[in-house]
Amino acid sequence: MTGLHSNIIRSEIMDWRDDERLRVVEHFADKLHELNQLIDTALRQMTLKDWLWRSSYHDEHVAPIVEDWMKRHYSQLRENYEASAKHLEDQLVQQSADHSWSMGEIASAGVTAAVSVAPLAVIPFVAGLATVTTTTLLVFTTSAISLPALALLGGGLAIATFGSSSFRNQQLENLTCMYIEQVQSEARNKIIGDVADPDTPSVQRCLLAEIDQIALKKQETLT
Amino acid sequence: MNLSAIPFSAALEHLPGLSSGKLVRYGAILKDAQTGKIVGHLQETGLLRTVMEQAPGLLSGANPVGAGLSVFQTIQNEQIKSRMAALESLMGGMKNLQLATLGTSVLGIGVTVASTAIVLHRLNHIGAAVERMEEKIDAIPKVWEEARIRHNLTELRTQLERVEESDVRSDRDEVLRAADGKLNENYNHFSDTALKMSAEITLDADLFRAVLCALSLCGGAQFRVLLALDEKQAAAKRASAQAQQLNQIAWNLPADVMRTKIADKDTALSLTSDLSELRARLSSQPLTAAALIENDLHGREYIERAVAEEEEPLLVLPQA
Repeated sequence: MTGLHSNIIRSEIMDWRDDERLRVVEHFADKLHELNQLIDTALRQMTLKDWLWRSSYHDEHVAPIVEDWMKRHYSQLRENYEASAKHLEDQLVQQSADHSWSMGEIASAGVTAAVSVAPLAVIPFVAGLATVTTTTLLVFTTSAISLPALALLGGGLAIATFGSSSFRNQQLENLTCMYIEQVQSEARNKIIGDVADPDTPSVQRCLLAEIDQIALKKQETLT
Repeated sequence: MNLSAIPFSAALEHLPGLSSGKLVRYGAILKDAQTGKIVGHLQETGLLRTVMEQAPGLLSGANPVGAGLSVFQTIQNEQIKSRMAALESLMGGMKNLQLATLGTSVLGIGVTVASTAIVLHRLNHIGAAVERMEEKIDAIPKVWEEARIRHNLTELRTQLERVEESDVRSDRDEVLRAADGKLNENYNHFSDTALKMSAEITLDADLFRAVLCALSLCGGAQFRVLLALDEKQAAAKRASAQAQQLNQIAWNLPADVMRTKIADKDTALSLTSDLSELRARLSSQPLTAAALIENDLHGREYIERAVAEEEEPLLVLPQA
């Protein structure tokens, strides 16, 4: 009757997956406005000189804010699901000990092993994310901002250098708003993912894929 | 009723353990929260059936699904009310354990003992949901038409009526075996429909809930038929296969994805909860069958005892 017990375990693993995925999605939905606020503050401090050298400003002042935020939240969420996966695993191992259930490799594989194997095959860009934090995913330098947006900003800036002071200020304000919107949108795509482009990696998609891989791996080890 | 004939105990005896968090319910099993060790198997009884049948307006369809008709409002008998209140507490996480939902939803505890009237009432609700979909025919993707849900519901109704009739037939076992085959085919149809729906970009909540209910009725009926035939190993194997099919559907529809497919957040969460509960129920049924084998109990006798119970709404078959 060992196989019969594995049905319950499979179902509990599916519940775990449901909970953890939802936690990730709700976390970003709930916290993203904080990052938007940070971006807004950083970009509103730009001077005309900063505008002329906006790529440098972006890389020196904006990118670190976004990257730190992404790393911090990625780590936090990863720690959360690792802890809950460990808790679930402990319970399953305990059940296995009590009932001599066949748990396959689940007891020895462990969470860390599952995670380290899991995401690599699916999302190459996460390779070694836990130790190497400057991978493509978490980089937010100017290369992350789309070219049309920068070209548009460049054109606007040229116009803003002419005319009266109030005209220039108004133009700069318009440019700043446009730039803030663009950077926030790009950051959002990096973090949550672009709905129109389901294949582009994002921090959230990466976390969801990792959770799926753990759930799959754990289920595969059940006999 | 003499509970000692089958080693049942009243489920309410476990309430203190559940209240303190020492015990948890998962589907139809009670287990030790810390060790995960199975303590017993929950089984609904004839009392629950009687309460549902006697609830004013329930079977006439006066209470729509989720209308919130609480057991406390409908039961007049204080003693039964007290037991049902305790049952509600015992079921814990099932926030909507109300008569209206019990009568129509995917819920069911252990081997279903619901009467034909109740089951057909549930089926009517499913049919009504499908009819509402037909009014929106333009919006129905081709897959729904192909699934011929209504045809399958009619087939399900026919088989449930044959199962009910089998009790008074001289060829009872033959009828049950034939119904078992049809019900299995029916379950696979509904499972296939649910799987296709789960892969679509948007999900019609009413229709999906209807399909889940059909899966629940179909799965529950098969389990009961196989136990009535005392085919306990087969019952365990069947429920196990059904649980795995449901896992495939659930894999496509984790809670966060369900939310993107259904506009209303609460509806999406409630469907996730129903899907989880149905999974838990189906995956715990094989263990109930295993417990019958370990206790050397005849499946039919087990069902008859549960149906005959009119004092306790829920019983527990202790784990050997």
